[in-house]
Amino acid sequence: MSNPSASVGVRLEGVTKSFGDTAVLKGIDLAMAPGTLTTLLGPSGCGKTTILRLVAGLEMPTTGRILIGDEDVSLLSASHRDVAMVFQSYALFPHMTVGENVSYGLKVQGVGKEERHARAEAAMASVGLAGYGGRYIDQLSGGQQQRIAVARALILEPKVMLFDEPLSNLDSKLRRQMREDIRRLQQDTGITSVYVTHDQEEALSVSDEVVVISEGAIAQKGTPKHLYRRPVSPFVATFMGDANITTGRVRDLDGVMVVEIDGLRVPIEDAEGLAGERQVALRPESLNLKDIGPGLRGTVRSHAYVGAATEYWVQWGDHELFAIMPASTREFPVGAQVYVDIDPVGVAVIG
Amino acid sequence: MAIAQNKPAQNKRAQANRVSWIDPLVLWSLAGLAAFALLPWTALEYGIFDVTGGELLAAYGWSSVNLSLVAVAVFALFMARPWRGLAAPAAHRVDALLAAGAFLGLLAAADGGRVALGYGAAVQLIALGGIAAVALARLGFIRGDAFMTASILIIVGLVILFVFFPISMVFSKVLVDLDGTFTPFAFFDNVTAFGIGRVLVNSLSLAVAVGVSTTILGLVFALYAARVSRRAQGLIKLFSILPIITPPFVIGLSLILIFGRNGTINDLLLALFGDGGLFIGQGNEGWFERSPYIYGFWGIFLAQTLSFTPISFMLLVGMISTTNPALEEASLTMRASDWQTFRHVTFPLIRPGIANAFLLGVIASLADFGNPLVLGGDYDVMATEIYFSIVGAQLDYARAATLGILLLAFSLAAYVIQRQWIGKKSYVTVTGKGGAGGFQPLPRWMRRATAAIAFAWILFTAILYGSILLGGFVVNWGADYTPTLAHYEELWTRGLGYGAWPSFLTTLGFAAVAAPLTAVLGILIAYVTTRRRFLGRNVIDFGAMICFAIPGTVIGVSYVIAFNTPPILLTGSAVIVIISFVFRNMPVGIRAGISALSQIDVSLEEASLTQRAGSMRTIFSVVLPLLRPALISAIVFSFVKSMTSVSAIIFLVTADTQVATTYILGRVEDGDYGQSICYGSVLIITMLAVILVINRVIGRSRTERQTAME
Ligand SMILES: Nc1ncnc2c1ncn2[C@@H]1O[C@H](COP(=O)(O)OP(=O)(O)O)[C@@H](O)[C@H]1O
Ligand SMILES: [Mg+2]
Repeated sequence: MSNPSASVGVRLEGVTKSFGDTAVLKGIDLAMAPGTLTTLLGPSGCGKTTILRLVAGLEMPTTGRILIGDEDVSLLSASHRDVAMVFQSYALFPHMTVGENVSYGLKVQGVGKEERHARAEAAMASVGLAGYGGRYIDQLSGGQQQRIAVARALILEPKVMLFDEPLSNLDSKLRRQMREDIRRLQQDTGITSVYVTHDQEEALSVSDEVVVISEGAIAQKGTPKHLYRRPVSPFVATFMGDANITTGRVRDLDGVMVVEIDGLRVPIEDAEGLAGERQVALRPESLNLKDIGPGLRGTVRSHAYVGAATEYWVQWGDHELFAIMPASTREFPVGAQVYVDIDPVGVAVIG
Repeated sequence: MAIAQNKPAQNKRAQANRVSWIDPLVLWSLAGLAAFALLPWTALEYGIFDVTGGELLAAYGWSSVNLSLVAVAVFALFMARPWRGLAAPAAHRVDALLAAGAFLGLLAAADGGRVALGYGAAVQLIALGGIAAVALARLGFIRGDAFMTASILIIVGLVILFVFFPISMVFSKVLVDLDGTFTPFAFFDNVTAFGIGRVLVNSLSLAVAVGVSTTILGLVFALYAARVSRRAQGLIKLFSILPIITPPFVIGLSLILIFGRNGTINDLLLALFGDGGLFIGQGNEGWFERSPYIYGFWGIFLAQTLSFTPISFMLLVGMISTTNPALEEASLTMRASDWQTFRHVTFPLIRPGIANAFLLGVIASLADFGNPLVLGGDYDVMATEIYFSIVGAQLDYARAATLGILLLAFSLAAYVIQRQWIGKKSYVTVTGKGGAGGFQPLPRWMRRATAAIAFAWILFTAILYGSILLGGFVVNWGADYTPTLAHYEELWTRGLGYGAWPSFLTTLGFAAVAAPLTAVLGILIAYVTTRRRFLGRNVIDFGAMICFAIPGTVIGVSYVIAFNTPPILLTGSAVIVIISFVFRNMPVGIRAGISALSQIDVSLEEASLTQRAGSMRTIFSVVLPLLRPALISAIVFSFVKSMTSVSAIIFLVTADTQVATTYILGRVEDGDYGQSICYGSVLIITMLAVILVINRVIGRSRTERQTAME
C-alpha cells in the first residue's frame, strides 16, 4: 500500500541559523530520500528542533536553501509548505474536541462537513482511536493524545512529516509500542519523515537513516548499522551506545582484517583502508569476563547487580573497562584477576 | 489502511491548491484607486455630515491637479508591474522599496504643501502599507507571513503617528522657535521664566508624600488581607474595582462635601464651637469660623492617598501571598520570635515590592489631574498648570509644552526605575509546592493594628461614597439638607437632548467604539512583541512603555499641538477623542494580552500554521478563543476607563463632543455640586453594573466549559 512514487525528498543546502549572535546551526547539508524516515539524533540543545522548524517554515534560515521535492521553499511560510509536524508537547487545541482537532486542517482547506467527518474518523481509526471524536483533549491519556497528534498531522497527507521527540512524554513501555506504530504508519503512507530524538535506541529502531548532530553541525550520517559499526568520532561512538574508547592497531593478517588491542586480535569486517593505529570503541555487552585467556588482563574494581545483568568495572592498565554480563553467568568478586574477551560484534573502529 | 482510502480527496485538494488567487498587490492597488475615485482625498474641515456639496467636490482628488495624482500613478504602476520579469527577490525588493518610498513621499509632500489628508489619502496610505507588507513577507520577513507583517507595519505606524509624533511636536514647540530655528536653551529659559520651579517643587513633594502614604497603607491592608483575615476576598474585590469605576474627581468632591468650607465637619464643629455653639461660653464668639482648610496640599494628599492606595495594595498583596511560607517556618524553627521573623525574613522578601509600590504611587500622583483640579486651591501642580496654560486666558503652548516635557520626563524616569531596576529584583519564589502548614501568624499587635486601620479605612470610604450617593438627593449639601429629586430631574428627565443625556450618550458611544479597538490593538501589540522577533520590535516596545508611563494630560496637550495643523488635522473631531481613549487605555489591553498569552503554549499556534492555516486564521481559530476571557475583560476595563477618562481628552472635546467627565467638571466649576455628584453617582453605578454583569457572564462561560469537559 505504500506509494513511494508520490513521495518527494527533502534537501537542506548549506543551511545556517543564528539567533542574534549565537550561531545555532553551522552549515547543514542533508538530503532525505523520498519515502524514508530519517532520524536526527543528538544531545539536548544541539539544534535538532531548530532543523525541524526550518523545514516546517516556523523559522527562516539565516543562509542556505531548503527544498521539498524540486521546490525551493526557503522563503515560504509554514502554511504554504505542505509539511505537518507532531510537536513534543502534542499541541492539541484544548478548546476543540478530538474530532475538531483532527479535522482542523480540512476545515481550514474548506472541505465540507460530511467529508471532514469521514476522513477524521478514518484518521482516528488509523491510530486505533476510532470513536473518540466527541471527547475533549483533557479526557485522553498521554498516549492517546500522542496518537491524536499523529492523526491530525496525517490527515492532510502532507509531503513531509516532522516528529519532534514525540515519545519523550510517555513511559517506557508505551514508548516502544508507539514507536513501532509510527514506523508502520510511515511505511504504509510512504510520507517522507524526519524524526527527532535524543534516544539512540529509538533512533536505531525506527530509522532508514540516522543523522547525528553535534553542536549545530552534522557529526555523521548513515544507516543505523553503519553508524553503530563505523562511527567517525568518539562522540558518535559514545552517542550510539555505551562504549569503552581505547586504541588498537588495524592490520591485514593473511587476508583477514583484525584489530589488535594489547596483543588480543579481534577480526573485523569492512575495514579496508583502515590499517594503522586507530581509536576503537568496545561495547560493554560484548566484553566477556573469564578466568582464563585470551583476553585483556585486568582486575575487577567493582560490580553492580542490575536485574537481568551484572555491570563490572575492570582496571586494565591505566584504563577502566565497563562490561555488562548476563546475570546467568558466574559472578566475579571485587579484586579478582580476570581476562576480558571481546566479541567481534561489539567492536567499532573509529575513523 | 485508512489513509489510502482518501486518494480521491487528495486529488480534490491538489486542485484546490492550484487555484491561483488574484495577486494581493493588485487587490491593494485596486483599493488605492477606488479610494481615489470614491473618497474625499483631503480633510473635510467640518466633518462628513456638515459639509457642503462644493467643499466635498473640492476635497476629491480628481477635482483638480494635486498630490493625489502621484498616488494614482504609483498604484497604476503596481497594477502593471513592468519589473515583474526580474528574478524573484529582486522584483519583491522593487515592490517593497517603491511602496515604502511612495508612503513616506506622500506624507512628506503633504506636510511640505500643508495639505490636510482625508479619508481617501488614509486608505491609500494603508494600501501602500499593505503592498509593502506583502512584498516584505515574500522576502521572508516574519517567516514569510504577510498578515503578521502587515499587522506589525500597522502597529509601528500607529505608534509613530499617535505616540512619537505628538510627543516630538511637543518638543518642537519648546526647542524650536516660531521661525523654525533650533533653540535648545530656550527650554531652560522657559523653565525659569514661567515660574515653573514652584510648580515643580509642589508636584514632586506631593508625589513623594503620596508615594509614602499609599505604600504604607497598601502594605497594612495587604498584610491584613493576606495574613490576618480569612475573609479578605471582599477587600481585594473592593480595592480592585473601586478605583476603576470612580470618576477622577469624585473623591475630591466627596472630600469637599465632608471637609469643605460648607462641609459636614465644618457644620459639626460650628455646631459645637461656633457662635452660640454647645461649648462656647460668653465672650468667645468668633473663635471658630468655617475654614477652607481642605483646599491645597493636604486636600490633594488625602484625595490621592484614597485614590491610589488600591494600586499599591494590589501589588503588595500579590507579593505577600506568594512568598514561600517555608522560609518563615525555617526562621521560627531557629527560635526567632514572631517579630524577628517578620523583621528579618518576611519584610526583606517583600522589600522590592515596597519600592515598586512607592514608585507606582509617585507616578499616579504626578499624573493625577482630577483631584488637584477640584481641591488644589493655590497649590498648583504640573498636570493642572498644563491645563491652565491652555484653557486659561493665556493660551501659552510653549509653557504647556515645557511643563508637559518635564512631567513626562519625571513619570518616565520613575517608570523606568520601577521596571528595569526593581521589577527584576524580585525574590518571590513561586514554586507551586507551597508549605503544607500555610502562613505563620503575624505578631499579635500587628494583627490588631492592621485590622483597626483596615476597618477605619473601609468606614471612611463608606462615608465618602455614601455622601456621593446621598449628596445628589439634597438641595444643597452643607446649606440645605432638604431631600429633593430636583438634581436628577434636571439632569435626566428633560429628554435626550438636555441635561446629562447628550454627554452621557456621547461617552457611551465613544467608549463603545474605543474599547474593542483598545483591547484588540493592545492584545495585538502584546502578541507581536512576545511571539515574534523582528527588526523594529524595539520601536513598539518603547512606544508601549511610553503609553504606560505618559500622564493623560501630556497625551492631551501633545494631541492638541500635533493634530491641530496639516497634514493630519483632527482636533475638534470625534476621531481624535476616540484615538486618545485608545492610546490612553492601551496599557490595559497590553497587560491583559501579555499575561493571557504567557498561559498559551506557542506550539498550539505553530500546530495550526503547519495545518496550513495562515496566521490570520490561526489568530481567529486558536488564539482568540483561548484568549476570550482576557479579551472580554480587557474590553470591559477599557470601556469603563474610557468613561472616566478626563485628563487626556479635556483639551480635545468641543461642545459637540462633550463627554460625561468634562460635563461634570463644568458643573463643578460652576459650583453646582448637587448635579455633579448626582451625575457622578449615576456613572459609578452604571460602570459597576457593567463590570458585575460581564464578570457574571465570563464566570458562567468558564464553569460551563468546565462541566462540559467533565
Ligand atoms: N528562538 C530562539 N532564540 C534563541 N536561541 C534559541 C532559540 N531557539 C533555539 N535556540 C537555541 O538554539 C540551540 C538549539 O536549540 P534546539 O534546536 O531546540 O535544540 P534541541 O532540539 O537539539 O534540544 C539551543 O542552545 C537553544 O538555546
Ligand atoms: Mg528539541
